[in-house]
Amino acid sequence: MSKQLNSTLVDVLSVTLRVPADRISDDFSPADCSNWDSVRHLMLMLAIEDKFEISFSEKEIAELRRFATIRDAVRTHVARK
Amino acid sequence: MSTQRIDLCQTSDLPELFERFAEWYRFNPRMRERDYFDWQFKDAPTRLADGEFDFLVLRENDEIVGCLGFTGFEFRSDGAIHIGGWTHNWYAPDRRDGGLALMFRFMELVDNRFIFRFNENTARVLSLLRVPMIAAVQRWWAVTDADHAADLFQLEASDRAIVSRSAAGIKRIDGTARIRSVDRFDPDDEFTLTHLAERLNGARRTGKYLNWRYLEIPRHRYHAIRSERGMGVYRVETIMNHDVSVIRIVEWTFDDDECGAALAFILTEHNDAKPIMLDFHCASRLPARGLERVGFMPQGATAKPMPDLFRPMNYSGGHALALDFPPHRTTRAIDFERWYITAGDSDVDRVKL
Repeated sequence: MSKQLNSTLVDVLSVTLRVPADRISDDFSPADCSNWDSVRHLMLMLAIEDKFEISFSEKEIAELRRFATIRDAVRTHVARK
Repeated sequence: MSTQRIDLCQTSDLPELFERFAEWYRFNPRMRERDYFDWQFKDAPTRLADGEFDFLVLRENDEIVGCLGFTGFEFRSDGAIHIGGWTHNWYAPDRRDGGLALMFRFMELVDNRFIFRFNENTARVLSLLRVPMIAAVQRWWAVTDADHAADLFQLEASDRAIVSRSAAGIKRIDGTARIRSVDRFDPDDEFTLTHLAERLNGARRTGKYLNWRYLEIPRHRYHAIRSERGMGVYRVETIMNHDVSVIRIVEWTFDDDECGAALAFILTEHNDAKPIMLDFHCASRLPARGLERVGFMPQGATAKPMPDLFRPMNYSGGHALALDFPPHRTTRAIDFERWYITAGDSDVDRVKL
C-alpha cells in the first residue's frame, strides 16, 4: 500500500512538474526543478488532492515543498479517510 | 540547501527592506519613506497581525528576498460587519514558490481577502484557488473641454463625438447648494450606502477610516466634500508635460440629484488647475448613476481607450479585482455590482512622481 502510494505520488509529480520519475527522491524540492514555480506548485497540490481524494489546508499547500513531506502528508490524509 | 522563512517585519528590518525597495520599486521612492511606510502598515485603524507592522518579509539564507504588505479594514456585507484585508506590495522576485508562501501566510491572518490590481501570474494562482475575480473594475470619465481633450488624447472623429457629448453634459451642471468642503471628518460619523441601494457592500466609510486614508496619508493632497448624507473625495493630478489636470475621484456616495452640484463645487474650487478630465472607478455602477446623467461616460464608450494614467499619459488596461471569502477554494459567484470598491481602496490610488 505504502509502495503503491509512493509510486502514484511520484507519477503525479512527474506528470505535473514534467520531470522524469527517477529524479524524484525524498529530498526533491523546488530547488531541484526549474518548473516548480507558484502556479505549478498549486497545480501539483490540486492534482494530488484529486488523485488521492483528499483536501489539504492552505497552510499545508504553502508548506509542502519536499517530496518526503508531501508523501507523509498524503499518507496522513489517506489514513484518516 | 537554502533556508526559507517568513516573518512579520520589525523596525530592525527596515534598512535592509528599504534597500530592496530601491531595486524592486525603483520608480516609487515613496516606498522608502518611513512615515509613509508607518502610515500604511502600522497606523491603519484596523490591524491584522500582532507585530509592529502588517508586513511580511520572505528570507532565504537570512537575506530578504520578498515581501507582502497588507491592510486590515472593517466592511459591511449583507448588513453585517466583518474584518477584511487588502494585499499590497506582493513581491517575490526569482523565488519560485516564495510568493505563494507569502500569500498563504497572509491568508492565515484573515478570512476575507481583497486583492486589487494584480498581474497574470497572480490571476492564474487565484484562478486555481477558485477565487472570483473581474479583469477590470468599471471606470467612468468626463471631459470639460471636448476639443482640447480630443487633441490631447489624439482621438478620431467618432470618439470626438463621444467626448463632445460628455463635455456638453458637464457644461450644464450648476449650483453648489448643500455641498461643503471637509477638513476633517468626525471620527464617529459613518457614510452608509443604503440611499444608493438597500444592500451595497464595501469598506465602512467611517470618519476615522476616511481621515486615516485621505487626510493623514503623507505627501498626498486629497480634498473632501460632503452633503447631508453623501461625500466625495478626490485629488487633482497634473498631466505630465501639459498645463492641464485630471480630477481623480476616489470616493463618491452622493444621491443622484446631488451629483451635478458636487461636480460644480469641485470644478469651481479647482478652476485654476484647468481640469480637463474627471474620472471615477467603482466595482458597482450604482454610485455612478448620477454621474452618468451629467456627462460621465463608461470607459468602453470610445474606440480608443481613454487614458487612466497621466504621469506619463497611458492606459493601464484597468484594475483587476478578486474577492476571496469563505468557504475558500470552492466554485462560487460574487455579484461585483453589489460592491462599493473604488480606486481609493487598497493602494491603487497613489501619487505618481
